[in-house]
Amino acid sequence: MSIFLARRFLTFLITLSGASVIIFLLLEVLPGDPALTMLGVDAPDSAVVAIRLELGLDRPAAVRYAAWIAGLFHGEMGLSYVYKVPVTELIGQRLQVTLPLAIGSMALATLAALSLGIFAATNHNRIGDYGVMGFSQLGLAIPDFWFGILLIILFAVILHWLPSGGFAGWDDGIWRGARSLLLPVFTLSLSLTAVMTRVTRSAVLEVAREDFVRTARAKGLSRRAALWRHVLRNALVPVLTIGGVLVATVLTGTLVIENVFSLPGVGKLIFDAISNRDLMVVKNVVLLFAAIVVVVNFMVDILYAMVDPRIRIQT
Amino acid sequence: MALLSVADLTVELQTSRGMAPAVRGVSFELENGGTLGIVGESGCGKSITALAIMGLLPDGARTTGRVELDGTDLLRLDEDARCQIRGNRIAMIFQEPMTSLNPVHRIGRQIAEPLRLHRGLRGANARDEVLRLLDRVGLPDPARRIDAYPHQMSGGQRQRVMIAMALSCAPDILLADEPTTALDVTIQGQILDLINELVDDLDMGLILISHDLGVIGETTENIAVMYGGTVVEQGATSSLFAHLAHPYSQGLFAAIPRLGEARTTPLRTIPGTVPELADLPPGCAFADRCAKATDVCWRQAPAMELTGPDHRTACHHLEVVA
Amino acid sequence: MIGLVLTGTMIALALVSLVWTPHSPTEIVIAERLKLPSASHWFGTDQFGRDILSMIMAGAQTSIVVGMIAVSLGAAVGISLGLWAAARRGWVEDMIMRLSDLNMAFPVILIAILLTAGWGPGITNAILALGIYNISIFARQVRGAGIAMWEREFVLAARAAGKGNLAITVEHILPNIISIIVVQATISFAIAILAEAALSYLGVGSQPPDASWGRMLSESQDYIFLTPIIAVWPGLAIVLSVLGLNLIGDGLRDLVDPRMARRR
Repeated sequence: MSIFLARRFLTFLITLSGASVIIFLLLEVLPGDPALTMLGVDAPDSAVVAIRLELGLDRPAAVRYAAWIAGLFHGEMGLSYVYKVPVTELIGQRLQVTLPLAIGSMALATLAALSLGIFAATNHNRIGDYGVMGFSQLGLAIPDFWFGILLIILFAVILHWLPSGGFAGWDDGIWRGARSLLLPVFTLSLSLTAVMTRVTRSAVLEVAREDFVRTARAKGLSRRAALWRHVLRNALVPVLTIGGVLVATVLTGTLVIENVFSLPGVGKLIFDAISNRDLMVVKNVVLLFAAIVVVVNFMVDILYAMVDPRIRIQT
Repeated sequence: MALLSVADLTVELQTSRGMAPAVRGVSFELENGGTLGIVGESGCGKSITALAIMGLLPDGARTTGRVELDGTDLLRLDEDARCQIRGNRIAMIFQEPMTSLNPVHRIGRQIAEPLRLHRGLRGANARDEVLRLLDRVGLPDPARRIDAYPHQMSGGQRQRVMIAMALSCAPDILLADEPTTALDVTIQGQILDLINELVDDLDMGLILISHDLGVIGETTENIAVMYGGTVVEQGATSSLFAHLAHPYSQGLFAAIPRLGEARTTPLRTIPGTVPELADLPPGCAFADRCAKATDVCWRQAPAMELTGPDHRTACHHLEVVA
Repeated sequence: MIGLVLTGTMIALALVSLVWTPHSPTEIVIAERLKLPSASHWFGTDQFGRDILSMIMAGAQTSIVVGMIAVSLGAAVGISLGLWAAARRGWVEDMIMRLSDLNMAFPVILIAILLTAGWGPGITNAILALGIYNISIFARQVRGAGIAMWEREFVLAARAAGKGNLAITVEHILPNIISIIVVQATISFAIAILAEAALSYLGVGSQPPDASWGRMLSESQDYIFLTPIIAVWPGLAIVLSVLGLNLIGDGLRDLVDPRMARRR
């Protein structure tokens, strides 16, 4: 168990540092002079010199990289070149929108997918199964931003029930904020639900054919009891895997959905930063997202070992 | 009245080519504490017969006939009532001990499950009983083994766990479907001895299913030989071995390798293969592999005829016995 | 079957648009702006009076070209790495798998954001981002299937005949896993169409004046209170194309692997 953990942790560290190097290379080294990237090629020389001094861009790349990483260990991400405020502060603010959106969508999708997947599997090859599978095929094919636009047309333009976008903030009570996240969460969970439903269904079907399920039934357990006690936990491994993969989908999904509903989240921040050529913001936000993906996958590995005792002895 | 009475049991299974009869008109009885061996090649319907008695056939299977336990027809019971009987009055152990235990639960919990379900035992009571059962099936160091996971045990140990699980509610009948086939030869004998000993001690009825006529002959009082979904010969073991009447049974007997035979003696085999369920001929199922087959065998299925004391055979070409 | 029809329609639309569209997809006629569907404009017109049907036909071209290039790029690199990992195992495999872990830490949109922030927006960045993203997907699939193949008897036989790793890979491994690759390519193509639309919607994909379904949607969103219908057509085009490809992918997979057919 501990060897397994140690190995996974090592991989995790390597991946994380690799990610930071790649981000740094792509943003500050490969395109050429970062000062020019931020100001444009035709910027006056005086401005270029000024920004070099201000951001210390005259130092060699390796030194700048080391300074960036050292700063991260102290919880510092530097100043946003455009807003002149610490990037950590900017991200912190925006996460108040992005995190609830991501977590809400994941939670809703997990609930919906487990119910739909189990329902479809227990009604294998019957009308309910076909219905669920048809829905999930459609869910896979619908671009989430288009689904969001359709929801806006239905609920804001036609029915006038909900706002077409914008965020009311958490200050006027949780309900006001949650209300503006309702459609976004629903939008983002569609494709997630579709994917997880398919995986849940096939995992349950697969496990239900195993010999030990027949053993459970031979003990006198009803179909339902055998499903809950013996099938589901074994079916959880593939569902967990896809859950880990989908975290990346959710994160990048928030970037898109925040755009659809004009929500002031991290997604808005990063696209503004791109138009403003605010490299400090871009580099740290991208690293944050990549780090979340890596951390979640590390946690999924540990969860595997908890769910399936056999994995503990393997590497 | 017999403890278990199976009469004219027919099972049709769903296949890609439509419904196919896997068991056709099987009948036998098992007395209280009696032992019956069902023998035949794989695909002859012996496992399906066992699953039909348990009520655990695959989805879409159609069953007709009667399976009476103490006079109650199990086939007419609803699912809840059948769950009450499974694991409680009739228990079953399977061929594959490697895959028949749930890999994510400790074995103690898996053995305790029927105890909780049928006897209402929980917590420490259930654990004590599990320890007693593990000890009873001869698993070394039960106190440590109770918290093991299946993957930490050998095949023989897992089969002992399966037996402990089956015994847990002191069933009237134990169904053992090829319980030793997947095990090492050295372990096979131990497990068979254990089953024999438990059946004697607990006065359980036993239905032992095997492809090995030798194993069956040593273990059970009665034998039913199955081929192509039907019983072709059945009766008391002593009576059967005194005079195997059906050509298929004779072939099976000849195929048992014997100690002491010269190594150069070729293994005897029955020519041909088991027919596909869906293509069973209208007459005797064994006709196309039988040396004695004549026109009548292809046209008409033979009926069971008395071929000795407590011994009946279904064949058109029985040798007349005095 | 439905999949073939849908995908066929999409390809046909793209091909026809090369030589003919009902109107020019870029011609701006302010007098005709935001018209509902009519006999002359079947799907209506957008905020500049451009014919939506013509734009969708031209947009199909963009989707197909982006998808084709991105998937080929990802497949070419990914398959080579996967085959190499399966053939060599050991440190080569470890290195390739760690690289693929790293690759997986960057979803398509993050790669596109990095490229755009460094080099400015453009369709090339979108294609590159999608291509890079596909590398690890193909590499992992091919490695898994390849390792399984290496354990088969015919490989042992080839080895016994004195064939080297490269020869075995080309003659025995690749032909036996090609079906898996084709299935993956179909599905990757579908994902590429979705992703290209999303990137263009966000402004980090294709740029004006190229027609793109994603950008049509982002532009239409400003006018949903006036003419919501213009936000419907490009979305439908995406859904039907992706659905078609996914259905083909599933169908192929069932053909290739009957065990999977039972599961879904």
